[in-house]
Amino acid sequence: MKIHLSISNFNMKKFIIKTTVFAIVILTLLMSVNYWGDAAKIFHSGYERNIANIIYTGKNATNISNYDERILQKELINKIKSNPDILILGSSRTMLINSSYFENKKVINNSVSGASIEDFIAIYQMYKTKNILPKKIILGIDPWLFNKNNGQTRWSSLKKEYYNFSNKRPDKDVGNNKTQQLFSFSYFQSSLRSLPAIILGKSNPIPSSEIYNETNTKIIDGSLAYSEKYRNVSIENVDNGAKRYIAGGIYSIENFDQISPKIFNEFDDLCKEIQANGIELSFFLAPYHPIVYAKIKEDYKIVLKGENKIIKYANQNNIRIFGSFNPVKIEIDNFGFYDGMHSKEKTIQKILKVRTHNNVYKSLGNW
Amino acid sequence: MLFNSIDFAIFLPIVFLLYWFVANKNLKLQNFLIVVASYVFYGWWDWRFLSLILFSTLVDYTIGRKLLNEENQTKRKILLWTSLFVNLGFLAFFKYYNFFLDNFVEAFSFFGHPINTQGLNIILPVGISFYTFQTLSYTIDVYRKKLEPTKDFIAFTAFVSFFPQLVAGPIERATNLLPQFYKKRTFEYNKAVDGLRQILWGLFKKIVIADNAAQLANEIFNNSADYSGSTLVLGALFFTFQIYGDFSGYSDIAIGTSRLFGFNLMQNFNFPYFSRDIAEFWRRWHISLSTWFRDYLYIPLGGSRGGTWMKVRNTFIIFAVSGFWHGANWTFIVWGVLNALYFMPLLLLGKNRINTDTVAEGKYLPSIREFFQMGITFGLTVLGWVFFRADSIGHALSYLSTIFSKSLISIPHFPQMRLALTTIILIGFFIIVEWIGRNKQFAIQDLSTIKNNYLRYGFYLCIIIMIMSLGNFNENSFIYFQF
Repeated sequence: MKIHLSISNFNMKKFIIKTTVFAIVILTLLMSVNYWGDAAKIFHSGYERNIANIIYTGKNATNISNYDERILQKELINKIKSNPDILILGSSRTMLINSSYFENKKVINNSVSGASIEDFIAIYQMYKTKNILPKKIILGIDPWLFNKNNGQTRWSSLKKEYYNFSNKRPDKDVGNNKTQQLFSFSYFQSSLRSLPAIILGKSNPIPSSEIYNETNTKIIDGSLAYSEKYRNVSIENVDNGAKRYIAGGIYSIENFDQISPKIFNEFDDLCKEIQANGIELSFFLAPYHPIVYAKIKEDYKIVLKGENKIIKYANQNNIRIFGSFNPVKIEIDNFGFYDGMHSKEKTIQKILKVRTHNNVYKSLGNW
Repeated sequence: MLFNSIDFAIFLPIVFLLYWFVANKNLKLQNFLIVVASYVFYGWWDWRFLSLILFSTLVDYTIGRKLLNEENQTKRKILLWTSLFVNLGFLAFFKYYNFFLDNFVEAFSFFGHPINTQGLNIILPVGISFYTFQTLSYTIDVYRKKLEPTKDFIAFTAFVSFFPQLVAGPIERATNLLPQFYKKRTFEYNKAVDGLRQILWGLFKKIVIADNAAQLANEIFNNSADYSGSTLVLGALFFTFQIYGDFSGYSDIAIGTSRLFGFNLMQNFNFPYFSRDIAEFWRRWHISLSTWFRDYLYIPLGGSRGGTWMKVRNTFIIFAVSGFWHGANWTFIVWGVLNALYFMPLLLLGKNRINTDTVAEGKYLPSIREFFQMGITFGLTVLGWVFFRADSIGHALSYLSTIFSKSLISIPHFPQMRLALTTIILIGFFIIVEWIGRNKQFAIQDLSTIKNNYLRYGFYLCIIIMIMSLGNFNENSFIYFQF
């Protein structure tokens, strides 16, 4: 019995040592690739500053990918010295709005992908703290803005600014994104793809005088110009992209069951604060691709309810609205899109009532 | 809790260490720990449905005890029917209530008497079909006096709720699993390592093969009207590997996990896509369910005794019921009946038991004859899966009609061709490994015979890196959870 037990113990020890060593090897590999590959540049903070420095020198920054857009906004705002005329706050769906649409105006686009109410508040707070509030603000409103289950946590990069707005203490449940990503297998796959460029030193942003380049370009006004491949997407691929977009649940609205009263109150507070500071406020509702909107009409009626609520709110508060989630309402067909949710520049110009004259945009929007 | 989740990756080592280092001195404590771990595992999904498992456990334990001392045949039958009524009642309510209601409403409307009723918003408890069948096997075996009813309530609760196979099988027989709870488990190194190896292969099947194939199959099936016949063939093939990778992957993880705790579960998949006829396929696919239906439905119905008509009738019944077990939709019933039709010629010609050995045993490659037999069987299976995957019979028929149209002779084309090519290469690798290991319990079981440590660990590392770099980490649920 004694012998049996000791053999059993010996085997158990051997098993545990071997599995532990193996687990350590795997975890080390996982963490190393995630840390050094760092697809979203969350462990290497200099990347966003590099982009901001390029922009500060009056150049556009190209060859940019997978960085923390919130941190970049912080870096950009830190470098602003005077009050802008027009500020654009929104998501990737408003990121293409650029200063050329507004004649002789100083425009800054601070849109961030998957923007939530916390992002709006935090970015506004940064301008307020620096005392460089703009004369006008365009808020890009997306349907997921009022969805408490939108799954957006990226705003946590700006949690300090967000909580400063209402003098609240940070919630404890704001997750530590860095730790999560260090052990994430999905992040491992992205970081593995970034690793060769990092090893070859080809991952840094490059200054450019051109707006349109081969890769995505951050323009000096903070807006974005898509990569050549994305700009030249065929209509067939746009439609296919829209179909793929609705194949599963639609981005950030799949669990949208009610307009969150809490978020709507925060939104109301922000709008009231903006208007109380004498800033003219407008809403921008970017349309969805017709295929996507048909699905929204069918399965996500809460989005239609949300749009009606926004329109009502805007009317009650003397806020101007541009656009609609419904492409038919604003006469946009599938040629007006890059994919299921991102409008082309010409669509945005049409919504903002911008006309071109000798290749110079002339705004009809009384900016 | 999903096997392919971080939660499980933390849960498993904790339970393992408690089991072997804290509860190892005492059998009752080991079983109790399994019960607690199993209830946590299930409750992680929805704790409310724990009461359902507990109720089934109490009912079947009590009925088992009563059957022990009851000699009156009528009373024994009443006890058996009580168990059947309770367990199948739960199953019928949670899984089939809305299906029957909808069909009644449609039937009345068809005959010109429309009725107005509203379905219930019922959540299907995960794995209800699996644990219901498992507990029923206990009561039926006790009723048949094949099994001594247990006095040990904790052991019985552990048997019903054993977390590795609770939600998607294998559906264990009480005669195999329950006695294992009566004996104290001691740690066996080789068994545990074999278990880890099987878990690794199961994760590869699920995360790399099934979840990548799922993305492509979903795209093609959800937009089937837009694609050519050749693309739809590709979609059906992707689903064929999705369902196999998903379900057999789950079984591998379940069996492997059980081995870590010193348990032996039955083999659930025996390389079914290398079958040479449909009868062989059904001896190799979801073995625990097929044999359950054989023992508790086919044989009581008379089995193959009583002439040709009886054999044909019973075969259709078990295939249709087996289809219906998978889900409350006519598509599953048609899938079952279609497989019965495939099976029928073999049954009538008495050739349903000719391929009982491993294909090309001891050879590297199959003969040309075997190759064609496997190809035809595989092709028939793929067509059957179209019904299984389609949203409705109409969808399946239109899918198949596009496959058998002129557009079949065209180059497949759809937006995710790049992922498709990667997945095809991975499936190719998967088929090769499965072929090499086809006479084992699972494909990479034989790796233990490689004496060169570098080679062996190198292979493990390769599989792990493939999982990490090519897997789909969206924590996709397992298809069979819904059944």
